Amino acid sequence: MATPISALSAGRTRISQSRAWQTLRAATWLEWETRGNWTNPALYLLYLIIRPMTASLVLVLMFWVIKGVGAHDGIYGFLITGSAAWTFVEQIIAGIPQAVLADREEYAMLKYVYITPSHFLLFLTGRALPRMLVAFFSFVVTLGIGIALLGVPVNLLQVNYPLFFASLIVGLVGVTALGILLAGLALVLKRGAYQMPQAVTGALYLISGAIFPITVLPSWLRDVSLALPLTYWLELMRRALLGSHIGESFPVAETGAVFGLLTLTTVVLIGVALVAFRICDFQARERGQIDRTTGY
Amino acid sequence: MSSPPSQDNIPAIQAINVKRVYQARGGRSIGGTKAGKTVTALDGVSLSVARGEIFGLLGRNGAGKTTLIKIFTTLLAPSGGQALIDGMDVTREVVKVRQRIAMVSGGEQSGYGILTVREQLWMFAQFYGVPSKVAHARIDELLAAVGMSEQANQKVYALSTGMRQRMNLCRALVSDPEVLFLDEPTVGLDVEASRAVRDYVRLWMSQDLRRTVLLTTHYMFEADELCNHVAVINHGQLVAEGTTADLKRGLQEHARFQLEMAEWAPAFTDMLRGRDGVVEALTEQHADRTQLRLALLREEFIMPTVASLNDAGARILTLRRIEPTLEEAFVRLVGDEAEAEAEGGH
Ligand SMILES: Nc1ncnc2c1ncn2[C@@H]1O[C@H](COP(=O)(O)OP(=O)(O)O)[C@@H](O)[C@H]1O
Ligand SMILES: [Mg+2]
Repeated sequence: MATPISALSAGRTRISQSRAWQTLRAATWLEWETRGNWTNPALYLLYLIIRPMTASLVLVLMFWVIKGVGAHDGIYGFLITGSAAWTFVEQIIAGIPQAVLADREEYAMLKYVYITPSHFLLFLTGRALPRMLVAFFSFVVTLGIGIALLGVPVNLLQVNYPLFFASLIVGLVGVTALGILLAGLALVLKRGAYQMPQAVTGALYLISGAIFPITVLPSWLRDVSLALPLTYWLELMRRALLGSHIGESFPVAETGAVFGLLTLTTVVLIGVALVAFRICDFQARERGQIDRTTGY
Repeated sequence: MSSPPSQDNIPAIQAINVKRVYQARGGRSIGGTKAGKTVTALDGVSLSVARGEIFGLLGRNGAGKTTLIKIFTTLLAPSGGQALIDGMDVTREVVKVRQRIAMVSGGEQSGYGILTVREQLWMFAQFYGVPSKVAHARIDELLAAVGMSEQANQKVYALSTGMRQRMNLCRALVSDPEVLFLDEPTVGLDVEASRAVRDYVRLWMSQDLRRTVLLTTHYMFEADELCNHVAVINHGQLVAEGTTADLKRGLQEHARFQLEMAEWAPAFTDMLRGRDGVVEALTEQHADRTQLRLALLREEFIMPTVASLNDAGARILTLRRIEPTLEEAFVRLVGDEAEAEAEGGH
């Protein structure tokens, strides 16, 4: 009797694992197909480059206006690495809620996806993956232009690649968790669901040390900043790319400690995001918001 | 494939005193009456659909049909009562329920426009864990069955409304569901597309006796054509339930017949009116025949009545039982459109 039972349960596990994998793959593919403007790839690539470039050039210009042309290299390094890395945040944190809202309102498909037995969180994660690739492309281009035109001091031979990729991966996990949390919120918000992700990203931009050191923040905001994985992530990206001297103004000197804090805050964020998403999901089902189409 | 064989005595679809209350839309007060108000969309609905049935839920706009379907398909939580698929609670055994069900709604332009028909169907098969190879074979079969093989590689945005809805039906069926929910699936479709959808639903049902469909519609002919059993819902409550024939018959106090007669004499009418069980006998004279309409106390009285006409020397050309249409039965149950509007105005 034991054999058929174990065979049956083994079969069942295999099928649901395969469904998880298939869901992730199909969602990734869906995002790739719907987001990329593949009918005009050249234009799309140009857009991917121009967007982060304009953001960082505006900052550089502002700096020129204040301090005069030819100011300190360290600042350019800080600005360019920060805004290059920020494309990951923008693409994912705003991207996942955007995907959910588009599925619900533009394609009227969210309800059909929602009632499949697939794991909805895997569907959302899949939607984030192509955006990571796109963001990586923007990141490399922005950094390259920064190095070539502004003399940003990144020596490709001296980059701490293990630190860079380790931080990048943990950072992306945290950013994805945040994106999922906001996707949950977008589901239940009655008004402003479209603007909310942008607003949150904007606020994070200011407090997580993307464009200026968090030491200039009032102390209570600095505390908020130090509770976010983004802050440690940006700091580690900079240290990996520019060398650890950049971290002189950061409250935590030891790179290993920064990485520990990144990991810790990321784990906490994942927990918070999962709980928050569950609550939002439950609320959305209570209120009938999964298939609402009038949320504009 | 992976689901254990379902037991036949458990209803495929069951609602036990299901209630659903919404917060009134808008929140803004119109004439100071709407703020904080609630709408009772379902007011204690109980129904049970056996495996193998095409069950029709009939009701006007706003009766609560879509709300009930949303609850069964795990999109919406009930405010009270219990909804079960194969005996499994839709709020507690969500994944198991979802493995068995699928849904198509009418009157919407849904679909990922940039994908081709085949891509979209493949993607949904993935969400159910159907292997790609199996999925593609099913997609070919489904598309052929609804007459859109040629559109397989067409982008969804380029499809006509009718083609899009056929695709939606295929999307629902690509996972080989046991319980299919169709929410006004032919609304806004042309005659040909509606027929393609209805024909395929019937064929699909005939291919496997374990399959079950719950269909909502306000087209009575559609229900009459497709459904074995129907229920009528009005203001969130079921007001009638049974086979379509039950529903039509339930209307009639008397059994009604229409006969074409030859060799008629006016005295026959009086003779009929004097008979036991005859409630009413009316005639209408035509050039070559007489049309006789009878209302009898019960159906059984027709045989002796016919015999007595024969004995008297009248000749019966045709005899037909007159049944009301489902439409008439429906209007009798829920009132006509004008009444519905008058009520809504309150
Ligand atoms: N999300 C909602 N918020 C508030 N009221 C709703 C909502 N959805 C439906 N209703 C109301 O509930 C009632 C039943 O609606 P519905 O189930 O869509 O009916 P049907 O599908 O039979 O037309 C209607 O009065 C409708 O206005
Ligand atoms: Mg409806």
